[in-house]
Amino acid sequence: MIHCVNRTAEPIVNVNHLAFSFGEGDLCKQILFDINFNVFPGEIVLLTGPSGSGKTTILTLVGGLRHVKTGELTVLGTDFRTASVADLVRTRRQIGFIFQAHNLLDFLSARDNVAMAMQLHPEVTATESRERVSELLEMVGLKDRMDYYPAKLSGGQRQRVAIARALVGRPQLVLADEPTAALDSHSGREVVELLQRLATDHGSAILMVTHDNRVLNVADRIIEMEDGRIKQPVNSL
Amino acid sequence: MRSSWQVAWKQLSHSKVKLIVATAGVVVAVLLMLVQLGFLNAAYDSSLAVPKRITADLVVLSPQSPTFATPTQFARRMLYRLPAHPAVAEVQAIYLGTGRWKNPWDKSERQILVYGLGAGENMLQIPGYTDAVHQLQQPDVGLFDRRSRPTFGPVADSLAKGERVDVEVNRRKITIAACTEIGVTLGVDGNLFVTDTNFLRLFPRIPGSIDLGLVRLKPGVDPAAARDELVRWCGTDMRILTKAEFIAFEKHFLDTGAPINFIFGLGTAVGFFIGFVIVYQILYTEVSTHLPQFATLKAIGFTDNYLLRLVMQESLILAVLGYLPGTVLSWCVYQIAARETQLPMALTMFRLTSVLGLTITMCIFSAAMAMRKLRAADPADIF
Repeated sequence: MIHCVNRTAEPIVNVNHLAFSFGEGDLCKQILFDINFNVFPGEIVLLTGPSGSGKTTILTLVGGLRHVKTGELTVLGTDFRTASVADLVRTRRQIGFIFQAHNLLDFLSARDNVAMAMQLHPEVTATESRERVSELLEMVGLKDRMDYYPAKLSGGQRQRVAIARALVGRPQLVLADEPTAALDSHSGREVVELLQRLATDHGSAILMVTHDNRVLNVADRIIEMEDGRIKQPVNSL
Repeated sequence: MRSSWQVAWKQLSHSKVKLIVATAGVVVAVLLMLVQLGFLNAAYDSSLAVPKRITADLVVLSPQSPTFATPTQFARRMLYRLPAHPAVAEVQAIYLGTGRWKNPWDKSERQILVYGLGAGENMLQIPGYTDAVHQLQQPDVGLFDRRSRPTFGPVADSLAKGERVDVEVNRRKITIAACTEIGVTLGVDGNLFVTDTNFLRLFPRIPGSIDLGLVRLKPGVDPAAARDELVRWCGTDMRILTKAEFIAFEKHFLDTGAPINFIFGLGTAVGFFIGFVIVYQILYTEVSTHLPQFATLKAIGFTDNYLLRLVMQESLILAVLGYLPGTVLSWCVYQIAARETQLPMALTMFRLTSVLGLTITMCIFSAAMAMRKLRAADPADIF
């Protein structure tokens, strides 16, 4: 598999001395200490580490779902320290999110769940967005299941619909939180390979939290976390 | 899938049972509101039907009368003073009394409102009265309102078949000469019209007391100016009103002296509340069971406004879905009610639009309440 990472380009994600804590005063609990890393276009970066080490918190910060209090964080050119709520929402529209729980809308078919995400991209014409939806569902292997409701799909199939939803807007950055956790080893592997292929095709960067040792070999880089700190220096594979 | 309306419709229609329950809630609300407002209007319209038939320029009644239908008597000679004024052309005395009508078919007794119309120009428009006036001037002959409740017996049918109809009013045999069409009210079940002479045979009373006086002014005289002058003339023994003031006086009595506003207003409010609760319940359940999904939508870049709009659109869809069958059902109820009660039940454009407005307001309220839950959808919690 040919996979290009352009380390000379501007990083898509730039994390500098980032710290984060929950609560105030005596109840204040620090979760992240002095986090530094970059994600470059087309790069697949895995975040691993025991639970409670702060991986998911990093993901919510990079995804603009929490406000940055200490340190620097720039995502897709937006400085999250100074960004308004509207800026955060605008940036989130350029990010593909894949959650542990697929969270598909049960009242929409697979096709409509994916198509709904296209409402965030009104600049794309109706025809093109219909084509993109079909194309992506075909790529994730759900050509024959496009009009099925989530209740009629297996866990792996639902996760693949969620991936199609995350990618239909052609995001430059994909954030994935244990996308394989709820899947058996076979479908887990499939999902990760799919992500890798789609990342390569569209040149998107992927930042993925995972515990799953079976998927580590797709990474360009692995960041290991422990107790809110990055455990070892960044390795290039 | 390019618009939130489509998403709203798909969410509502995904579970057919839920959609039917929610729509039924709106249908019941629309039905209750339209029917209650229909009765309220029927009560007003019917009570004002007789005052609106007055063609006189001025109306005279006792200052103690709360409404013309339950009058306090006053002296006829007071009314007869008025033609002395140069502005007055003619006066007519009207007698009113509640008599007991014995239904000759099943022998049951009913109360009937009897009007005694004084001689001279008839300033109360009673269709068919003039045609039958020669018969009515015979002793113990009356003109029956065919729109009286059916409990008075098939008087009109018998007359149409050419049969002679003799009934008993206040233990006196009365022959019905013909029928007219006036209409009943919530408080009055039937009407009978007789001459003043026949009235006094039915209702022996102190000679010379009347219930209502009607005044025709000479052509070109301003009724308000004449009223002012006559009031100065007569003092406070009589209440003299122009025709418009008399209708306003009757309306004011209905607004304040009768509980119809309260009763039917309450019924309308109950309808509104039932619809509100059902729609709120359905929307609230929809929002709370989809909270993680809505949080996901927020995370991927949908705004709070988009989700608020979604819930609002669902409520508006329900409003329209329930309104249409609700009006059709109400129309059926109106037909039945009009036949059973003889009250004037008309589904006016004004009422249709006001109830549409009420229905939309009701659904918007429900949506606004259900939306408060949406704020609990925190996109940071779903990772």
